[in-house]
Amino acid sequence: MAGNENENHAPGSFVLIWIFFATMVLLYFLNWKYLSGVWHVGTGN
Amino acid sequence: MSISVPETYWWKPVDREEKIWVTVALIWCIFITLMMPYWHFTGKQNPPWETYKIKPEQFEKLAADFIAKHKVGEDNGIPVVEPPPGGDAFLVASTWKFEPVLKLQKGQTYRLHVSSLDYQHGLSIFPINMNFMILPDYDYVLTITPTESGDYRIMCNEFCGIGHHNMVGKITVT
Amino acid sequence: MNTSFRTCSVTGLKIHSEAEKLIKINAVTSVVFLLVGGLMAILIAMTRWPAVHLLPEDLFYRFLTLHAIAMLVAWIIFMEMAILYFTSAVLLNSRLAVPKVAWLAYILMIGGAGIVAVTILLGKADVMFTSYPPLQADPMYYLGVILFAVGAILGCCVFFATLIVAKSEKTYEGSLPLVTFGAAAAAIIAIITLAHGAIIYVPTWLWSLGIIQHIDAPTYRLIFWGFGHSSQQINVCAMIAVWYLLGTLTVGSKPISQKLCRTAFVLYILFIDIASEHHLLVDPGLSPAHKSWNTGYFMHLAVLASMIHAFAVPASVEVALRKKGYTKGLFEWLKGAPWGNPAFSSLVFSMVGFGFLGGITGITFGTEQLSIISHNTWRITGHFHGTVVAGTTMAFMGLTYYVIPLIFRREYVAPKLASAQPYLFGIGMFLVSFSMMFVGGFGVPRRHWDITFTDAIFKVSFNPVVDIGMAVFGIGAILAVVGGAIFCLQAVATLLMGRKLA
Repeated sequence: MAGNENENHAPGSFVLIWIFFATMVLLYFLNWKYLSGVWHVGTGN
Repeated sequence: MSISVPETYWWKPVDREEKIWVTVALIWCIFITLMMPYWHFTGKQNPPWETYKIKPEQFEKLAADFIAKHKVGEDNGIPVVEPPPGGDAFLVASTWKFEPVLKLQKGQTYRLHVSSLDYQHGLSIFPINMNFMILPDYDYVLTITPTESGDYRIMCNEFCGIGHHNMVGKITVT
Repeated sequence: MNTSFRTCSVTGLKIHSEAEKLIKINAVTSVVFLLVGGLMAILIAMTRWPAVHLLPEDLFYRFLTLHAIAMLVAWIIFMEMAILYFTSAVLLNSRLAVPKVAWLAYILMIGGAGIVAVTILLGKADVMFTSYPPLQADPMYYLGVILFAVGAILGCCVFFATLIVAKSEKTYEGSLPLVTFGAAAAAIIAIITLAHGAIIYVPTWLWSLGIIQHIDAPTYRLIFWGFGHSSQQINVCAMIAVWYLLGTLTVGSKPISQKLCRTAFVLYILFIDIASEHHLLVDPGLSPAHKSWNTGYFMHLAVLASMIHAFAVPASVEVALRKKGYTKGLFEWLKGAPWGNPAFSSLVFSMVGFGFLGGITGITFGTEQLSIISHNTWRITGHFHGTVVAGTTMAFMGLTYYVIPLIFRREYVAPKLASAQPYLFGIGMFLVSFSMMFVGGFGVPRRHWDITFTDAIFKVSFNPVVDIGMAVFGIGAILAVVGGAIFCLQAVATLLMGRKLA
């Protein structure tokens, strides 16, 4: 396989990790969206 | 093998795929760290930090004065209070009730003082799902603006003894 | 000193008989606590599911307290002691240093855990795992926790002493194996964690005896979580060491870059304890700068470490399977993986559960502002059932499938059942964790006996979709408990009746 200097090529895992990353980013921003809809709260706003 | 003494490849350079992933992960970690100060400057929902030390008796007295001054009725034996918009409001948590019932106005800002007379309690505003801690000996001031009218509940969500699940208060927003 | 050894017929490792005995007793004790915690789990789960609502209120809160202690503390830390002795004495071909101290550690831990469990069952400590003052338990409860913590600290000391013995007696050459390195990171975190436990439980114990008059609530919360959450960081660290171990045992994998994996373990040691402050994000008192700094900058460096492992472990498995000839396309190696081997399927469930259920939600709920919409709701409970149960517990179960033939030298009584067990438990826990987080998003609180609020003065009615979520939770809990029971019974039956291996 090309670019395989260490015989440590893991293209399948490389795809899986991006699925994981996309899920994390999605969940993270959905929560910010949820937060932005609640009452305003803070100190002295 | 992960269970044996490492061979020489231990010193070999990191694989290219791994390098890309670790770089992206690092950038992501920096980004999610910066989100917090960013939201403090631009967002409308931030955990309040205004806090005063107060003895439970003192807080109870402040709340009693507040209730006497602004009381407009009763609901299930709990006084209903309409605090002045822009002013201070008090909410007392004790086993196992929240006092008083608050009547707030939509779009108005209140300085809501919360404290506990006994155990640690939770302040969970339902159904919008906003959650804060209520600790004894501390007056926690939430500067809060209801953005929608409706009939809201306050649930205790910190365990405070066997009657914990019955600890429910009420807020109405008009 | 007893220094008799046997040689393992599978791995060729030299096994010190005292170390072997201590691994056995700690592992068996931990499975017994898993059984106790599992029994509590089904009782409290069937109470939370409103359609069943099994227990009366006092027993619910009592059993919930015991469930947390048995699972979060006893099952996990006894198993960690077994792992520490295994990764030091066995993997380094060494004798265990000071076995007498290791036995003392065990006696203190079992004594402490026993006192705590009995005090809870007598109804003298209905305070939950957190035991937040001014809520007060019987002095015996705090004393039990202190004894357990002291015992666990001693166990960690025996581990470090063994590393020194192995080095000075030259039982291995060069650097420590990665798994031992990871276990060492876990042991360092454990000592920091248990020190927090001692710092906060000793004054609380004195307070329960009436010697100290007052415990400040936020101070307790701050130091308690240095113990309460950090103890789960020991789990994370030990679990990841076990991931590498299981990768090696099941498919013969090697980490792609040991340098990177080891750096990630060091990041855990340096940053993960400070991250415990994410429990205090909606507490009065602390400034936003403090909250952002401790949960942002510091926690996210620990998050980075987890993300490094999240790629390193599957990649090493993939590389190993590709070397075995599964090279077609992107995913042929997944087809060729040993899915029938319970240790391998446990590893996969553990990684997916820890990452997708526990990890990403932990990063989200641990963000300063996002704590407003998650603190003390059932979302939090769902998060840590993803990390501690689907993650750590499954990894430790997978490890047990190797410990039984390798250390106890017994053949499983029901190997087919063993193959199926991780699927049952894993799918059950995925449903439990997911449904908890789902209904928690509607505001359903954690630690709550009756979410129908039948006796409350004001009525609370959740979105009807919550009922479906609760049903999914109930079904998931039943599947997981059946899976957990099969695991415990298989382990016990194999130890008693399994055919002896040569």
